[in-house]
Amino acid sequence: MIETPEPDLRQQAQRAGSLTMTGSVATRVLGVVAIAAVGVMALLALWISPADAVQGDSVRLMYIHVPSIWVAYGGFVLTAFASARVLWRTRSGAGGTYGVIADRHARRWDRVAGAAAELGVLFTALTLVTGSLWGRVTWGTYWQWDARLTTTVLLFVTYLGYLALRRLPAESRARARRSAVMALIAVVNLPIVHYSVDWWRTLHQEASLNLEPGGDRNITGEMYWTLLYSWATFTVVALWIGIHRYRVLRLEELAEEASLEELLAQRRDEQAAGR
Amino acid sequence: MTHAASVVVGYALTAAAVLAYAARVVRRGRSLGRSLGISGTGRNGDDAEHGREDRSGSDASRTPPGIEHGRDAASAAP
Repeated sequence: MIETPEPDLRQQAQRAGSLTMTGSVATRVLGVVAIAAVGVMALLALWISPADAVQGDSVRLMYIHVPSIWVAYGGFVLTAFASARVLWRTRSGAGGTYGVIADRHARRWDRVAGAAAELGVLFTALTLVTGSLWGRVTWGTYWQWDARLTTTVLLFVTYLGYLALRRLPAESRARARRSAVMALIAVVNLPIVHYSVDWWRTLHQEASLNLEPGGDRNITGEMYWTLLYSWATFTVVALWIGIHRYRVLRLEELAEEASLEELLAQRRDEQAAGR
Repeated sequence: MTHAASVVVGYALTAAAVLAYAARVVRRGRSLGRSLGISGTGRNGDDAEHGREDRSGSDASRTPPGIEHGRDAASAAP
């Protein structure tokens, strides 16, 4: 089944004079905002925010380590939500029983799930790397099989598996549905990662920010605001890349459909020539 | 590793990873847009023609709806 390219992609790209087909006026504005925000974040995190009395300058790693995992959490939650929508919209009787996904909304949610999961994996990897660097100077080791670290690496590996599953060749409906099921299973680990520092005795410290009403703040002042600002910056950057990735997934679908159509036409020609 | 060195390495690795991923996404989008002949350069006709060059034997009747082909694309481009 061939679906026409969504006209907004072309129009947006042309308005922005984009070379990529994934750009639009909105993504250009978002890109400029993201770059400016990163510049301000670097100033705040590396110069304005003070060094910690105990941790020294290594506390500055917190401004990339903590926002990375928050953005990853957001990506994985979005993946789960989008996957639930995919399962709902492709259930028996709603989107056919086999073959390609007929429902346009289901396709869109499937792309959202794919793009968000990729960003989640990227930012989880960054969390692990920056955490290891911080651990080396603070704990004296890059790695410990601590509950928080172990559950985080499990989260990372699980979503790598999810991305691998999405790449397995299959009809689009089957691929979307089985990926969606895996996403809903994988997201169960998220609260385990987050609360691991409360549930078990761990080397990793407790949550940097207690967002519960009346909860104690572990950090205050410039460090607190720099951390919040860094989180906002990482969110804007992730959103910017995520929109482009979503549109690339759309183009990949079109390319797949176009090549399938071409193969079918070739087969028809061969059959006609054989008669 | 000193505290300052860990910060430098951490920030550099983060920036490199995010930039590399973003560049990969943009390159993939550009490549797919061109091969489908629907890139947003405003030169759809040229791109479409170029994108179809290696598809020997293809003709307009085989081109999926909405994916402009060759000269048709030029007239379809807004």
